[in-house]
Order: sequence, then structure tokens, then C-alpha cells
Amino acid sequence: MNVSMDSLAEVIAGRFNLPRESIAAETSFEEMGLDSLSRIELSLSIHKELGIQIDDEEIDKMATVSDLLGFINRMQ
Amino acid sequence: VIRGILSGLGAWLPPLIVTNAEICAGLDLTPEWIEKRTGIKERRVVSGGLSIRDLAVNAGRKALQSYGGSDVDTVIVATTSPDRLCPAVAPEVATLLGLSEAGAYDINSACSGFIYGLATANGLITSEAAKAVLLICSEVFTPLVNPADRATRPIFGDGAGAVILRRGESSESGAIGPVRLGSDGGGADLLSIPAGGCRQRAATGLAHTQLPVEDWYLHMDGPAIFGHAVNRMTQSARVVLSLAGWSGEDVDWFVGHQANIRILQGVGYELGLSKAKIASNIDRTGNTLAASIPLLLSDMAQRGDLQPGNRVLLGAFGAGLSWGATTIVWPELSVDGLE
Repeated sequence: MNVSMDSLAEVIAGRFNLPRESIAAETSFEEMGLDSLSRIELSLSIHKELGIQIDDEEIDKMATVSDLLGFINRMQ
Repeated sequence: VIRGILSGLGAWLPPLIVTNAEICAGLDLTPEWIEKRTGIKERRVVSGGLSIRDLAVNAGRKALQSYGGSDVDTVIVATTSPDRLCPAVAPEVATLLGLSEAGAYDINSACSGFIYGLATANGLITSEAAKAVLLICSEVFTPLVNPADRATRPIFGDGAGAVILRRGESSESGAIGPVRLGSDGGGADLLSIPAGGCRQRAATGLAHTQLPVEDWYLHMDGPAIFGHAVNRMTQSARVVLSLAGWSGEDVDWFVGHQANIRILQGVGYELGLSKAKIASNIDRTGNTLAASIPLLLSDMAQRGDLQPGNRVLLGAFGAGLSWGATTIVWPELSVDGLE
């Protein structure tokens, strides 16, 4: 089953204490203030909350929430 | 049930402070970047030819003072930065502490050395092979860090911490709680110093002097280690919390190996612990490998942050890969400062 933008945004907002409304598909990790360690923290949270494991190297290549959502749904 | 009881605690830091600004000289880094990525502002570094033996003796002496006696029959030194390949440093440390006939040996479980050492000391006591064990975690790792490597150079500091376990009952404060140790040798190359041992020489046929200079320094895959550290520390912490019958809310302090504040916060997040329960002094010490937990415990006890009856979760992760966790209810202890 595909992961929705809403569920992914909830995970990101919850992990980094960001307002949900600040996270849109085209929001970049840089705009959210997430560095490369934050991306690893996010991949751990995605595994915990959504049961999906993403390689650290893969998440490091992504720039936006949309990149991440697309990758997750291609994995399904 | 017989258990090892925490009955003495001491730690020692060398006096020379090296700030992030000093580390950044010649490297493409800023002090703020180091602090944001690791939580480290400064670290202590040895000078004047001090080695782990000297740091171990200073910390061991303080632990003996805290214990208020010298009836220790075993000395274990946990270190990742041994003075030499052979012999172990523990017999020399025991002699310098006036414990000349104690059983004495070294263990190397890298940054997990304190938890592995506690498990070992507790095992010696419960099997009645020892009555009181001095466990000293001593590290002078900064000479093993490549001065030109921006990934590892900012992280490490030198220091030593020591505890004494005596024989007692599991119902006493200070009793070592359930212990969980783990390892994954598949990750051995993620944190390693290739040269100095025998395997590389046997494989290459080269003399030590012919081996590449960078192989004498730490190699670290930081991003891979970060994820493993959070996962394994969380996993082992969950096991010991369950065996101890504690929930996350019961924990007063999570005292984890001080590798990176963000690893500790990641474990705290996974366990549902509030940030206020995550103990840290990494801003002033850097990563002191096996020594970091007893150094932090001393620091907290001396400042009065650790109070008798506090429920403490201990956890570590390091090279090997290796990890471990245990619990302790904090006992009455008299503890000196770190200088």
C-alpha cells in the first residue's frame, strides 16, 4: 500500500518538532534545517513508524520530501 | 542472590583543554559545525608524555578513595589505546596502586568497554572468583586519530574513569542489574585501525615501517555507525529495561556512551525518554571511548545530579561492532571532581 504525503509529513513533523503545515511535497530538507545526520534520524523514524527501511546512502541523495515519498512508493 | 555492588567511583581528565577553534586550524571546518554535529565544544588531551597507565592510576586512586579501602583482589583495565601490544597495562597499574598481588588484565571492547567490563567484573564476583574488582577505563586515543581527517579529528578526547564493585546482594542499591551484551563482527571495518597488529603484516608480508601511514590511524564510516549505534543501543536498552521491570518513565537518567549527542538523543527519542533525562558532558570531554561513562557518572555524582535511589540506564556502542546495556539503582557514594 502506498504511503501518503500526509503520513510521511506527520512522521517528519513529529521527529523534528516542525509545524505540519510547513511541510509540502516540494519542501527541501535544507529548508527544514535537516543536515545529513538528520536524514539518518529520519530514516530511523520512517523504519519505526512506517516499517520501511531506507539505505543511508539513498536518503543522502534526496533533496525534497517529494523525492523521499517517490522513493518509498517505488520500494513498495 | 550475589551481585557486584557499585561501591567506589573516580575519574581523571588531563589538564590541557583543546577547543573546537584550535581543532579547526588547518581543517575545512568551523567550531559551530563541530558543535552542531557532535555536541562537542572542547576536549582534554594528554601532554608531557602521559599514557593510559598514568590516567588509569589517577582514576583508580580516586575510586579507591571513594571506596574507602584497599581490599581489591582484581584489576581490569578497559582500553582501546593500549600502551603497547604486550604486556597488558593492568598489572603495572595494580602495582602502582599498591595492589601488587591482585589478578590484573586488560580488555578491549572499544567504546563498549565500560559495560563489558562491568559485566566481567560482576561475573567474577557472582562466580566467587573475586571479592572486589577495580575496573578502570582509560583512554589516550588522540594519538590514534589522523590530524588531517576532518571526520574523526574533532571527536576524540583523552580521560579515565574507574569503579569498584564489591560482593553484595541483588537487593542492595548499587547492585548491577540485568546486562545485555551484543556484537556484529560484520561491521568490524566500519571503525578500525588496520595497522599495528599481526593480520595486516601476515597478509602483506610488509614490516610495520612499510605499512601506509594512514593505516595507523582510525578509519571510521560515520554515517553507517550512527544508524547502527542508535538501533543497537535502543535494542539492548529495551531488553534490560524489560528485565529490570522498568518503563521509560521509571528511568531517572540515561547515561550512555558519549560518542555524539545526537546518537544519545536518537536513542532517547526511540525509547520515549524526555531530553532532560539524557545525561551528557560530551561538550567538555569529547568522545573518550571506554572511559566516557564512568567519567560522566563521576561528573554527575560530584555535581549532585545523581542522587541515591535514582534509576539509571547505562548503554554503549562501539567498534567491533559491540554494544551493551545494564541498569543500576544509584547508591550512596562519595565522589571527588575530575581534575
